[in-house]
Amino acid sequence: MKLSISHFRNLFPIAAFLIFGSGAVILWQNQNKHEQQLVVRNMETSSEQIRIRVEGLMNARMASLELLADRWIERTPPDFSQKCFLEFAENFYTHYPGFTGINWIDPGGIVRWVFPRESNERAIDNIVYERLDLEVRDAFQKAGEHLKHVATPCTELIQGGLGFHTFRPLIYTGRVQGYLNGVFQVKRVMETCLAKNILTEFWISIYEADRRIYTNEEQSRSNPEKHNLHVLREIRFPGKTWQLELSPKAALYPSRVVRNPGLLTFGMFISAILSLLLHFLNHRMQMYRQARDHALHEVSERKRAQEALKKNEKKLEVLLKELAAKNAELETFVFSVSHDLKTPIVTIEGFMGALREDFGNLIPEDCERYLNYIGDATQKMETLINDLLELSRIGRLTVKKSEFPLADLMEEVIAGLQPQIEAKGVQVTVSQGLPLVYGEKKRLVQVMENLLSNAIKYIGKENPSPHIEVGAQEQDNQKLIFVKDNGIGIEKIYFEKIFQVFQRLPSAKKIGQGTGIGLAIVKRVIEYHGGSVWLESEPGKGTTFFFTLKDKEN
Amino acid sequence: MDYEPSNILLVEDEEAHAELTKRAIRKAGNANRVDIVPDGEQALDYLYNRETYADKQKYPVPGLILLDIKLPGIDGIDVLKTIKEDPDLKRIPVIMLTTSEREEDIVRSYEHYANSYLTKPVGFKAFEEKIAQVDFYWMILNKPPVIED
Repeated sequence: MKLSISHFRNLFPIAAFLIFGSGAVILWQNQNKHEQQLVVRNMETSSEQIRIRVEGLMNARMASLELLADRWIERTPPDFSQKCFLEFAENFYTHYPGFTGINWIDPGGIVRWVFPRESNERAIDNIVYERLDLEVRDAFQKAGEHLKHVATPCTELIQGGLGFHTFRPLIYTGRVQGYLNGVFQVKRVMETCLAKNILTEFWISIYEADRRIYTNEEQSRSNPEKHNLHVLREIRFPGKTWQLELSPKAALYPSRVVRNPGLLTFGMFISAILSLLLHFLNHRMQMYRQARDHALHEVSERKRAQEALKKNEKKLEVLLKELAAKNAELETFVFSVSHDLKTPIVTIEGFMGALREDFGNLIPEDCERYLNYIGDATQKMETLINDLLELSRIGRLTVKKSEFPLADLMEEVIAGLQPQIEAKGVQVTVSQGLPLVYGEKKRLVQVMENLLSNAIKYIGKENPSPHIEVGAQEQDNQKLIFVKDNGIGIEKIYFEKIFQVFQRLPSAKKIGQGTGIGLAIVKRVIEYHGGSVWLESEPGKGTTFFFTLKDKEN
Repeated sequence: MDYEPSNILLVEDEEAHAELTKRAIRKAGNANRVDIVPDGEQALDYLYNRETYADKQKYPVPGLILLDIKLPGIDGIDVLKTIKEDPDLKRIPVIMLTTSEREEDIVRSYEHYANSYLTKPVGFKAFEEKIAQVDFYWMILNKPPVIED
């Protein structure tokens, strides 16, 4: 189904081109037809015009000869002199253009007088009865016998060119005085009759009994193809019937080349453009459709992914909650275990004291030594338990954070550690102008205590000038605090490890103090404050602990 | 109601601690008598003269109660609650004596009107000193309320 629709879509522009193209062709043909009709009408009008003109001219010329004859004999007595004839002839020749000549032929058939003389000289003394063209002779004879104005068929004129004669017998006092002879060159007649625009627009031929007596066709068109468009007309005037054939010139109405190629081209061009546009539109629509489908697909994919993500998030949340619960449980566990551990220690310590007090005198020396071992172990255990308790307390119990001078804190810590400091002869330098810090003071005291006491503890026995430096730096939105010593240092592999609970370095074990919880407490407190803690160290040269504390948010 | 201001009732499940405490109190020498009960139930029996403690003459109302928190069965806080809700017993000073430093325990104790909260110190000397001070304060310095019959 989808396939067939898309096929149809692909064919659509082609179909559109065919439809538009056919439309264009029909329009073009209509236009051509219309033009042809116009041309035909023009031809008919023109041929009618030619007919009327030629007929009019010839009728008028022949009538003018009649008129000349009438005028001549109207005079009493008529002057049949040459002079009189020439006057008449000149008058008519001038006023009735179209004549090639007007002659006077005597009753014996000899051409006596001619006008105009220049072009008709050769006709003088010509004897009509002796003419070779029988048609002329017959016509002349007919005019004499019937006393009628007759016209001859066309022949080669003595004056040159194809033409014909009219003979009008002049009768006076019942006797033929002679003949008025009108000489008409066809070419001249036609040129007089034909308007210039007709000559330029049409090919014109005139036939007299199948003989072409006139044409305006060029010599080169010796065998002109019959134009598919042509009009025939009969031209009639006394004694004559001519066939007029008229066809349009190519300039007016091209017959062989495609007519109105512009229109057709334009039509086809527009059709092509339209179908191209349709094609592009179609293409665009398809692209749009594809993009939309793609987008829809993507959206649904994303939705699915988001749902999966949400599910995972929920799972994670549950896991996190579980983890937090487990963690809290563990801390509570550590806390209560520590407390439970304290109970036997109280007992041990208590009864050792009681033993010494009540039976002091009776205790042998060895026993006293053993009691001391027990006492030391118990004390160590107590410290351990206290540290564990402290560690489990961080974050479980929140005291309100406050802003206080780091210098105050340092003073408190150093005062607390004074015995150890003096015992080791350590010089502790605290930078001037320590900043304000923000946090739980009690916890931060713990941090500093642990860091300082560590530094003191591991300052090294043979250190010639034991020195600890505490300073701080203000950074963006936080404080960087450092505790630097020139003690025994820490190997790099332990940098991470020392922050873990119960992780003690070999050197620390050697020294034998500490529980392995101090730095874990430091790390927890700092991280609980949103800061971080790290160190730089080199064995034999010293260690610097750094930690950051976030500033109070405004 | 028989009332003996110089008697101390020590509620302690740990026998050794009970002995140590009793020893320290005796050493301090201000108390007349120290009675020890090992759990909450017996503590209440003692105070209400029930069961083995039915004899009012023998077991008069004590002048001070040292109460451990972690006890089998009814725990120290419940005992404290019962005492402080009882119109007759609530005037008896109750001192919580425990190894717990849990803030919750401290807060809960005071919420239920404990008169003091003490942790058992580790170390013989510290322990004896603390008990001696308690004994001195509550038996000598402190003026106990008069509890009438």
